[in-house]
Amino acid sequence: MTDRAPLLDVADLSVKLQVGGTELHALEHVSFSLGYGEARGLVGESGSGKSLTLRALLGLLPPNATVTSGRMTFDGAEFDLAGTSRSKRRRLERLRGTGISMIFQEPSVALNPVIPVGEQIVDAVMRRDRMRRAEARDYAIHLMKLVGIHDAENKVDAYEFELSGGLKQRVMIAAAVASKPKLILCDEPTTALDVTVQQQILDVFTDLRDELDAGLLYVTHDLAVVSQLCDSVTVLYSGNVMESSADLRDMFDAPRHPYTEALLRSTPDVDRIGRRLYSIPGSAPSLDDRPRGCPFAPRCEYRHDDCEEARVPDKSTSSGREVHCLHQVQQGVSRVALTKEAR
Amino acid sequence: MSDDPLLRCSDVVVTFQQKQTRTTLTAVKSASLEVGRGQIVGLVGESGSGKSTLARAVVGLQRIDSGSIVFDGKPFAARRRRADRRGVQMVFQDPYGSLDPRMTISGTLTEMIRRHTALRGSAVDKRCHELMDMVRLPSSLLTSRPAGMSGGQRQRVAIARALSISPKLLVADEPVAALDVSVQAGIVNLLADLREEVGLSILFISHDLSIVRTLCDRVNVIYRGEIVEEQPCAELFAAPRDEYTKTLLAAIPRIGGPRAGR
Repeated sequence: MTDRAPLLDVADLSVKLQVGGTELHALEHVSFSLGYGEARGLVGESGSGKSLTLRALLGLLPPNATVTSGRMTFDGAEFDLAGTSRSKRRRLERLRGTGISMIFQEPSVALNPVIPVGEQIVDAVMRRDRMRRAEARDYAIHLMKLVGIHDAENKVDAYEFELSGGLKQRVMIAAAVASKPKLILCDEPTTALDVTVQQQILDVFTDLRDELDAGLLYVTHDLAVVSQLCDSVTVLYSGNVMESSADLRDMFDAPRHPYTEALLRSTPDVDRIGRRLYSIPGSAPSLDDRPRGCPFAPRCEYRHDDCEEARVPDKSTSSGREVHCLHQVQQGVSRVALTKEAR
Repeated sequence: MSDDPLLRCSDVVVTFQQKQTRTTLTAVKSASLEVGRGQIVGLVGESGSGKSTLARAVVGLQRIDSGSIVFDGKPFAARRRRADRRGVQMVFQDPYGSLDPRMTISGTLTEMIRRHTALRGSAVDKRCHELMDMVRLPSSLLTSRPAGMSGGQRQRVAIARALSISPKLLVADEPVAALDVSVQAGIVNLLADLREEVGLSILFISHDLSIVRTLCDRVNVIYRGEIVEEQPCAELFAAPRDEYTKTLLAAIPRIGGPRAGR
């Protein structure tokens, strides 16, 4: 995976939001990359900019948002994400549904209620390949089986409202992979589902990744889900990358950014009873009132005076690990490690 | 009386008539559960399992077809008196929908206090400040409205409102499901503290087993309207007896757990 050029490389992505006369910097210099067949988790709490990142890659930003900087290399081709010219936007649009697909959190909102779900998959199939509708329909049924819909022959004519949440999400995944995309963007696709269904969907993703050699960029707030699905992970906070690791296990075992550590400590653990959860004091800064330096500084336990002064450069210590913190959590004193030992 | 549980639901049945198909849907069938004094009891199930319906029945927001709900030694009648309602209060999932956007926080709390208690005048204000302390919110927020507040703050207000008339039982229906992890932790800790500080008993409804494990003493697992298993928390997680419970436990994603599909 390492000697091949990455499937996706996003560099210096910044997005500005125009809200009632003020300009908010919703994303600041976000960079990450993703290999073929790799799954990267994009983790953050609400308002961290994780969904906005996905939308920026597809050119699907809301009208009040503008990309102020950002380059993307996708499958060998370069894209200027900040470009507003018609031709540049057209190039990005052409990727949608062919090279890159997206799966949303709420399948019932994303599916059209007046068209049978099978038709919607057929449309996605025909967007990429010229084939007869009957053929496309057979292929749609094949895809529905691939994502674990057992009686696909019947379900192909069903409407969205006739299906359960888990089935709807499977239909969305079938439609997303219909065009054999190289990259699948997932925006919290299992958050609205029950745990048993979530497990099945995560299995579907894992199979698809192996089958299609597609990259998966998986946005979620759920660290446990990321831990089960992804190889690598990027942690966002208030529109900035806090920590990033090519090896997810490395980061979750020994987080170096205090925010990553705090997140892990505040996540309830099924295997431990009666633990008092760590709760991060204060709340995330609003976008127009972000500290000049590290956005997490006001809530950080390891804060020093210099934290709030200037933007924190990448203090990478080893390859594949990126840590934006002046006073990283020292290995050996990590509180995550300590709570683990207490088990 | 002290040996009696605070809440005992016996064979509760709740059905709904489907108007279009003229069929009867049994949302809760013959469910029994108990909440002891000072206990935090979890009610866990997936969507459609009937957990919220049962919770609403306990609070009195849902008529029951048969069975009985005995609270503090006395059975609830079909129509609850005001005194009955004082004993049980509820916190809902969505702190954005459950607070009146037009009312200030002190207005929200005052309304409850004046309606259900004998406190008047400055005693009401004093009570409001106490409540804000209890849920770890600054009293300065009393004059603000929900609009400017975060999800976690709103949920604390909702808890303060429920506590304003000193109920014995708090029914919390997915109170942290809509919140971020870091905020969620604060609310979970708050509920645990309230049990210690004011001896509150809590029926905690959730689909998230990790939180249930962190917070609850005992757990009831509900599946298709039936309680399929009830055990102390530690035992349920260590040695689940019911097949459905086993499936549910196996499906929980774990940090550092095995990879999906491999």
